Amino acid sequence: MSAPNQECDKCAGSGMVPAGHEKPHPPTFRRCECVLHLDILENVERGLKGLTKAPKVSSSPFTGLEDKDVWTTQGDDFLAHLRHVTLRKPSSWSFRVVSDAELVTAWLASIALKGGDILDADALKISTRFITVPDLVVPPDLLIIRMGVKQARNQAAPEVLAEALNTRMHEGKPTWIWDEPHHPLNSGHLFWSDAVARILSRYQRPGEAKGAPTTSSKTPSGRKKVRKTLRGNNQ
Amino acid sequence: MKTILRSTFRVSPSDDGDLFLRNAQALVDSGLGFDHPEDSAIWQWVQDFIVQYHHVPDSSTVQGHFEAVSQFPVVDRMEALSIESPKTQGNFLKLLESRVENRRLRMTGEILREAGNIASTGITIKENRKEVHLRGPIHALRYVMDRAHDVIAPSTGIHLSGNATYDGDAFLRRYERVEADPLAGLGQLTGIHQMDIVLKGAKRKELWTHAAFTGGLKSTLAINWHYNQAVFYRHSNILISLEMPYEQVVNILYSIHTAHPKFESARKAAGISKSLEYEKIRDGELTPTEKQFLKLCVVDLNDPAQKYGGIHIEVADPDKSDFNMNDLRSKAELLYSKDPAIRMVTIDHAGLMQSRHRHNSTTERLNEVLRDLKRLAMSFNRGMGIAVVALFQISREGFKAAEKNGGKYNLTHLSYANEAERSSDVVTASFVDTELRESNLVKFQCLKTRDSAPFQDFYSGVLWKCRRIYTTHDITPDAARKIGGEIDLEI
Repeated sequence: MSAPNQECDKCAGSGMVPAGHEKPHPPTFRRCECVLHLDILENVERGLKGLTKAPKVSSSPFTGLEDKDVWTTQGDDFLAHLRHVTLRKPSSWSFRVVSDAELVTAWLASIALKGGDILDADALKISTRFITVPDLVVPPDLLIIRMGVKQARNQAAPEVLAEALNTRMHEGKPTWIWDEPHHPLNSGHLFWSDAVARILSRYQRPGEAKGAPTTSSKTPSGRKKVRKTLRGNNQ
Repeated sequence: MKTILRSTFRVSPSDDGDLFLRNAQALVDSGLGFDHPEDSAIWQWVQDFIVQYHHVPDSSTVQGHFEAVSQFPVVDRMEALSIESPKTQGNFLKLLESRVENRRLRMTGEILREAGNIASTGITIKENRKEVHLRGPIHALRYVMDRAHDVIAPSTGIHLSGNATYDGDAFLRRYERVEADPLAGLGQLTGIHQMDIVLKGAKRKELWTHAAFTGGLKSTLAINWHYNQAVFYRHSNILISLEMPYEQVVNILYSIHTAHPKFESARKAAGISKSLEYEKIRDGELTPTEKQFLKLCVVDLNDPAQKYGGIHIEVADPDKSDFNMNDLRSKAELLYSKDPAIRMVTIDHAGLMQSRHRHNSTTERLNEVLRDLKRLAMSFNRGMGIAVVALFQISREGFKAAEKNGGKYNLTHLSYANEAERSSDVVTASFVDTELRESNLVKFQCLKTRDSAPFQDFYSGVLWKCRRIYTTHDITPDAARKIGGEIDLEI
């Protein structure tokens, strides 16, 4: 929250202006405009550093979907839409952009605390800022998970993502999944699994162009399919 | 009884409808009736009117009704009642209590006489539409025990015991009474909208624990709450201040009163923006104009015509090394006997109270204090009950954890006295850090409610100059969209 402008004519430096007096209750106030603008900008920056500097768009298909589960594959173009949406929310509304790598880090933190062996190439980066996945994913009103940050393999990655999505669903809070068009969340992705596919199948996909990646119902089994030809050759 | 009946309908425009409605509800709860048939007719009509319209009638309306139905003795009685001077708040309750005491005396005599008859000759009474013959000393004593409830119960008509599976009629009567009462279900409101709309204030027989770290506005919230109760809602209350001396609390209260909206024009005329500064009042550094304005506020807060409730501030007895639950109960009940309009007791703070028994650890001591506070809420004034607010200090570890978590506490931060979580009906917390302090804000959150859904975390404004905490509405979604558009144009 921002400190009020001490020279503001409307609030005389208190940051509050009268909002009515319904008797017998004490009078009520609302935040003055001199602090509201700064509050909202601070809130946007708190959710994702540098987001206020993202490009502007005049409208966004994501407007009004702040309480829905959404999956978008717009890459960096999404930043402009996210800026558009978050600037138009009150500063008391909380959102947080977390990366897939942070999810795994939070999941591994409890093991790090216990002093167990961590079989992850990013083990050195483990911090105990968030000790569990719920610590990281439950608090914000809207959680945006940015995919494609984690590169090092971890066998449990899809399960961690599924757990995060299920935790949000259980809390009744919306989640947005944000992945890259050149590395979409689909079969072959580090975080892909049947469970993730099942959860994402009911996510909305606003503003996606035709031909955008969709959920495949099944993960490839890994066995190569054998095509038989009349010549008897395998392809 | 004439004064009591007169205090349930308005005659002159200066009669306060809200306070008269409280009188009528207190009279209903007491179960007192009137000997004169005219008085009974008037009282019955007033009750019906309140059920229908949720406010007390004017005398002209009552008279008009009885003239229309040609009950002229009642009309004459109304004229006689109208010249009586009414009573409100504690004065009315005191008078009502004295009448209830007379009824108790009569009832006690009757019950003991009946018991004597049962013991010697035996009598036949009706019990659940059956005739039962009672005879002998055992029946006599059982009869005394059964009827004793009517005598022992406080004048508010609260039940101290009963058989729930036989109590259906009383339950329905109580429900109808609550349904018709616009004040029912409302406890002692804090004056902070977001809290009141959900929790509806601290209710009788409930323990409300408000927790915060040092400097987290525990005492300030309590003083604001008591001020709002007395000045805006006109209920009396008791603030037990074990941390701040009497003079400091009074300084803050008068300082808060200088921010009252009724002094808007006087403030403008004196060139004062929002209120007088507490520090200037404390240190005697007001300018002559400000001093003049302060005097105006002091006169107003002390004016009986305003009908403000009393704010009884009690500090620990200087002759005693500790202050325990027995001291608290005796002080509170003594004050209540003088001012029956008292509705709430606040302890600032529970950690400074001594337990009745010696304990080795702070946890055990605090747990006993909190259990006793809940008992006080339940059993105050022979079972009448009262709203008890306990302020509770959160540990440094809890504050640090909340700092990391966007100012969010959880119940584990009260775990060094786990009874705070168990015994309290409501647990709230406030959080202030440097950033919020500079923004003139405090964050409130609800950690537990036994009887309703918790409120969402919210911010309230703080006018640090006078320590006033007030409702600060969040912007509406439409306003947020508009401001977002403006920001888009700016940057």
